[in-house]
Amino acid sequence: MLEKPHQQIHNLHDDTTYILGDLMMEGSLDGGNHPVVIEGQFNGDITAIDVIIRENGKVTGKVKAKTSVIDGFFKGNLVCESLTISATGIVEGDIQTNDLSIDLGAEVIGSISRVNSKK
Amino acid sequence: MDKLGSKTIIGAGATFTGKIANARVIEVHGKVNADLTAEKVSIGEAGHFNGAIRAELVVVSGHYEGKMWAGSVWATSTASISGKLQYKTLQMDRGAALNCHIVHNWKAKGGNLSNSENSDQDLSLLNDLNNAKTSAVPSSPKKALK
Repeated sequence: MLEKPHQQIHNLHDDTTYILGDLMMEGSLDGGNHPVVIEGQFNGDITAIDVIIRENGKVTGKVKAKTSVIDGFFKGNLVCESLTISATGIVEGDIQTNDLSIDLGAEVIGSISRVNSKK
Repeated sequence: MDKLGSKTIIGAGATFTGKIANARVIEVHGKVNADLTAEKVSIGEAGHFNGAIRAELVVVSGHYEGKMWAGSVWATSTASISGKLQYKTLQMDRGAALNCHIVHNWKAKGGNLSNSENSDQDLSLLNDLNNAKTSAVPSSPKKALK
C-alpha cells in the first residue's frame, strides 16, 4: 500500500504534535523543532519546522514553517520554505514560499510570492 | 492513523497558549497554557500544564497548575500539582508532590463549585427538617380529618 510521504516520515512520536478528531484549538502553537500535524480545527498562529494539515484539518490564521503540506483547508497567511498543496487541499490567502507544488484538483485562491530573505 | 484514533498530542518542545475544546483524549508532553475540557487527559513527565481542566480521567506525571475538576485523578511518582483539585477518586503514587487544595466531590459531575462538606451538611440539615416535618405534620391533619 502506498502511503503519502509525510505519513511515512512522521510516525508516532512524542515529539510530534497531533491535533486530531473533533478537537478545536484557539491560540498560538509553537512546535519548536518538531512537526505539527493537524486534523482537527485550529484558529491562530502556528510555528513549527513542519506543518501538515491533513484532509479533515482546518486551519485559520498564520502559519510559519520550513516545510508545509496541505491536504485540508487553510485560510490566512502562510510563510514557508517549501509548500505542497495536494489534490484535496484548499488554500485561501497569502502564500510566501520558495518551493511550491500544487497537485491537480487543489483549490488555491490568493496571492503567491517568494520569501524575501532567500532567492 | 488508526493507531492514533482521536488522541491529540502536544509534543515535547511544543508550546501552546489558548483554548482547547471538544478534546477526547489529549496527551501533553510540551507546555500548555489553556483551559481544557476532555474525556481523558494525560500530562507526561516533561509536560507542563497551566490552566483549568475538566475531565473524566486525568493522569499527571508532569507539572500541573490550575483548577481541576476530574472524575479520577492519578498522580504518578513524578507528578507535581499545585492549585485546586476536585475529584471523585484519587490515586497518588509515592513521590507525587501535591501542593494544592483538594476537595472530594461526592456527586457533582465536574462543574459543581460548591464545597462538598457544606453541601453534605446542608443535606443532613434538610433531612432533619424533613423528618421533623413528616413526624409532626401527618399526625395533625389525620387527626383533623378524623
